[in-house]
Amino acid sequence: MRRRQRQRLVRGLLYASFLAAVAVLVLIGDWETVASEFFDLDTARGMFPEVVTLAARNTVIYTALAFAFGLMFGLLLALMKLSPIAPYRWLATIYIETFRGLPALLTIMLFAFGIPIAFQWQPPFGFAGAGVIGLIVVAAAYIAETLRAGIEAVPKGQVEAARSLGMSPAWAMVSVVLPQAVRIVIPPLTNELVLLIKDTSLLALLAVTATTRELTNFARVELFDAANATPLVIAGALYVAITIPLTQLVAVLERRNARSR
Amino acid sequence: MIPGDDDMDEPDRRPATAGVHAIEVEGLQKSFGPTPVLTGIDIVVDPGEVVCVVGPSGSGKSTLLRCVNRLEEPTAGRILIEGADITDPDADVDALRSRIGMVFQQFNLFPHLSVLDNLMLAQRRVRRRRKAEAERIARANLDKVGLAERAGAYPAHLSGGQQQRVAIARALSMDPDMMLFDEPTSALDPELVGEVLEVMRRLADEGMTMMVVTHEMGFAREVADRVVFMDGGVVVEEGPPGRVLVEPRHERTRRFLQLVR
Ligand SMILES: Nc1ncnc2c1ncn2[C@@H]1O[C@H](COP(=O)(O)OP(=O)(O)OP(=O)(O)O)[C@@H](O)[C@H]1O
Ligand SMILES: [Mg+2]
Repeated sequence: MRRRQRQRLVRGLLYASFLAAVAVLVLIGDWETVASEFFDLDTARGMFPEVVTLAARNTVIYTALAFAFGLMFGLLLALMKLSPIAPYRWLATIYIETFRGLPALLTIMLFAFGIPIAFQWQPPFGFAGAGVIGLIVVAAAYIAETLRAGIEAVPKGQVEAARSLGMSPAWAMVSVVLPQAVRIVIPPLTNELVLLIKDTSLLALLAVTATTRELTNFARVELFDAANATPLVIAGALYVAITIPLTQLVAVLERRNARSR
Repeated sequence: MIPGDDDMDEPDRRPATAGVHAIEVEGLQKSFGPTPVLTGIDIVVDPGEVVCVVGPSGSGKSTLLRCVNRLEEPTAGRILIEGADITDPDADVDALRSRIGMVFQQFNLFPHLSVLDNLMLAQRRVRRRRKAEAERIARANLDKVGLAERAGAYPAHLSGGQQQRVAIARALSMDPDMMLFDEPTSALDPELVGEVLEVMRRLADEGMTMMVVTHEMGFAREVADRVVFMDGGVVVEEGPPGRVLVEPRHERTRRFLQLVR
């Protein structure tokens, strides 16, 4: 009884101090400034429709490209890392450790400036293309580790059963191990996809052309044009609007998977 | 020479055939790192023969069985499958394995596939059977183990006994020349053991060549043509079940039989 009472007292105090903090904020906050600087309707209106049809669209395209190719190269790296052939393992390990260790921005700049300057290389689609290549290179390293962990989480008996039926190592991997590994890695892969969506904002630091701007870049230009923070709020809302359906879709997929088990 | 070789003068139940042995294990040794597990095993299994391997935990029974289809790499010795050396580095291991059905203690069904697909996968990939033919054979084998009506179920929705019967049907769908069983009933609740043993008994009656690691002494006594008692990585004695299990010659065998009874 006394413990319950004490818990209730503590909780009451927490609520009270929370309400007090809100009250203080409401009283001393400069709400007119907040409204005009962060929620200015004219500034917001001026951003549409381009913020969706151009900027958000580019963000989605860059994410999709980086994820699709990252998945492909990531799978290749994961299989190399699990290979019985030692040099393959070394190569994969060096790659993964390097690009997980480097800041993503540094890798992106390597492909946007470093390699183009060193080798007079013209990245396809200019800086945007170079940026996406940088994202792919980074994503592949993270995805490879996730996939490797997923593959290793499939019980050894599964491969043994497949091999004992005469299946080759490749067939056992493709039709027995990978389908089970994919189910295991869906949650961590979603995480990586969401991180990737946000990482596309790093391309805002490259001088891309007007038509290849993604959300953050778009918001930054609008921010300085209007000398007003509203574009950040709009861009932020769009990021959330992109990520939430994704996480929900994956939750549905996971539940469906769980049922067939 | 292994102890118990003198059993060979006992009348063989089957006529001595001029044909090759189904399984011939010669001087098999296996170490895991510095730890010797099998230290010189010689076993012959003839076509149509049922050999039960019994022995205390850790005596190397699973290791022996896994060497026979080369899921484990032998350290020394030879293993001939119908005359073909499966330990030969140039051997077509996948092709040889596809003629050796294997049933595991933990069933190792593919959880992402329906029962029918579990039975069809290797038929399609390894035997290259057309879909209709593979399905016909799969259904015939499901019928044989009494699970015709569960073709569409997923393994997780079956009892342990049903899963093990599906695993047997999966192995049979490859039309193997011989079957290896590694404690097929050890993971089952006692009331489910009988249905699996019944399927195995019928298989033996049909003339399947079988090598069965088991703790089910009743099964060994009634079904085996020959019982092999292993302890400490060697064959201690072997012979007809009526002899080895009823009046063992070796003290170790006697002690083991007292323990399992
Ligand atoms: N992959 C492995 N690595 C190292 N040691 C192993 C490995 N597999 C088996 N062993 C060891 O080899 C010995 C024999 O194992 P094995 O599984 O063949 O025995 P078993 O007769 O099948 O026993 P059980 O009745 O418990 O199944 C054990 O001491 C075990 O610890
Ligand atoms: Mg064992």
